[in-house]
Amino acid sequence: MKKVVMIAGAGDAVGLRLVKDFLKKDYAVIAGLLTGQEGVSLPEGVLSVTLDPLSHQSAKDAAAAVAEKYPGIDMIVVNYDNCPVRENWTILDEPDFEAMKLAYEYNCLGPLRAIDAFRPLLDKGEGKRICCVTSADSSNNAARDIANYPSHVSKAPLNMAINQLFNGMRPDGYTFRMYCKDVSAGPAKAGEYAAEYFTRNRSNEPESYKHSDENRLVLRDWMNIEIPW
Amino acid sequence: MKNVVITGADRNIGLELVRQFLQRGWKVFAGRYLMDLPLLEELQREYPDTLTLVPLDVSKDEAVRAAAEAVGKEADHVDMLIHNAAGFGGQSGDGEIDFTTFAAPYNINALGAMRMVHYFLPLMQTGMKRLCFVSSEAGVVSVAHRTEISSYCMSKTALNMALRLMFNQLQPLGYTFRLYHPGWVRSAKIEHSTDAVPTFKDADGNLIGKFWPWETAAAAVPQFIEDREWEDRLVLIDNEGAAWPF
Ligand SMILES: NC(=O)c1ccc[n+]([C@@H]2O[C@H](COP(=O)([O-])OP(=O)(O)OC[C@H]3O[C@@H](n4cnc5c(N)ncnc54)[C@H](OP(=O)(O)O)[C@@H]3O)[C@@H](O)[C@H]2O)c1
Repeated sequence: MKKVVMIAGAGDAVGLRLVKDFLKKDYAVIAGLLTGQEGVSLPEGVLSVTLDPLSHQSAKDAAAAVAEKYPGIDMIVVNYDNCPVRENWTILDEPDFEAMKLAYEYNCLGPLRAIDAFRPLLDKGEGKRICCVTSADSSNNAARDIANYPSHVSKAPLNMAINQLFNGMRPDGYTFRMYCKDVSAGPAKAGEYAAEYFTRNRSNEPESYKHSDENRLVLRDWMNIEIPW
Repeated sequence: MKNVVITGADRNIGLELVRQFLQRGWKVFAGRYLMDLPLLEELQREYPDTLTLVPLDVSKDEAVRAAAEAVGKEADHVDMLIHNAAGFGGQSGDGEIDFTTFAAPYNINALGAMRMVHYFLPLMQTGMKRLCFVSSEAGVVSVAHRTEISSYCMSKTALNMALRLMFNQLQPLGYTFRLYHPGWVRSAKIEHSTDAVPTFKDADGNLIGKFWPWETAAAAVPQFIEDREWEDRLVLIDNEGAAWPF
């Protein structure tokens, strides 16, 4: 039987790339589209569901629709980013607090809503893998910026939340991927290596606890470079 | 006489910071949020000339702007800002996870710090130019140890990020930053003068928590006041002087 991946946020350039790349890897793909993206043309055989990053209920409804076709899923990939355009204001200008609240609801709580809603299906699947597409903007250690607050400040807390999920769920056999897309490459190429990263086994040796990316949570970019939290 | 503005000053760590700055002869503008708790008023009877109470809800732009205006009427500049206020929200593990409770701590702890800096900075062009923030080890991603998704921890991570961006811009302009983790403090979450203060003892009579609010305030005040030779680094330091990673 094919492995099943749910891609929440499949309707943008990065998401569509993920859909195609997972099909190439012979996965059964479910595309989670945002409201308004229903017209997006998807490759044949892809089941699509609609879910809104801002609504927990819509994620649960999407999971219920998926459950009608698939008894379980192996992997969830969440690709939500409502900050594609850089915000240049700084603390000395007029901060857009409403944009910051929306960015947090969308980029941080959106993935958590989706993961929570699909958790029962993941529990029933074999793969048990949770993946997020994020960006290096999320790193507290690496941030050299003085602007783009909505992106930075909304994505950093997702790193915390996924670390906490990892702590709670890794003992149950779950594995995790946090992937920094290549924002400088443009939308079509930003997610070029994501599917490869999400599907590869990252334990170096079965018994290695120190040198295994599966037993600690890491943030890596498209060049496989580890980004400090 | 130097002056300081402190948010979330009604009780516990904030209140003790107010008291200890007053004892050192500072003028203090204490942000009031819990209007039914009279501890700040009691302190004001001791320090009628140097303690000013300012209504301050850091979750609202308008309230912070108005507080800055009120302080600006009494002082020609502000030397030090301390963002100590914090809000809490839900976490996973208590049954169905309620994400609607996740917005408040982000708005108070992280965006509140940004509002304070944004609206008070015009008053901080002269003087000490010191920006202090009470954060927490709970927001440190690289040593995250909790197993539940916690909106409070997430909000402190967001705060640390907002501070990083502010630091990158403001430190070269002469502002200095303090990022403080108070330790595990016995804070009594009372809201009225009639509320019972917890004993902080477990079933066996052992004290829960590690420090009293006045102990951590006593560790914080010198960190906030003293200059450092390494102001070009943003470091989270706790009440025992240990530096934390991010
Ligand atoms: N106690 C610890 O072990 C510990 C550990 C690490 C870090 N900290 C940090 O230390 C700081 C002080 O905490 P604490 O222990 O003294 O607890 P606390 O008594 O809860 O102090 C925080 C104060 O901020 C107030 N507040 C909430 N929302 C506000 C708003 N919108 N505007 C202004 N004030 C608001 C709270 O009132 P409400 O009653 O409405 O919440 C409370 O009075 C916080 O930043 C906290 O995160 C504490």
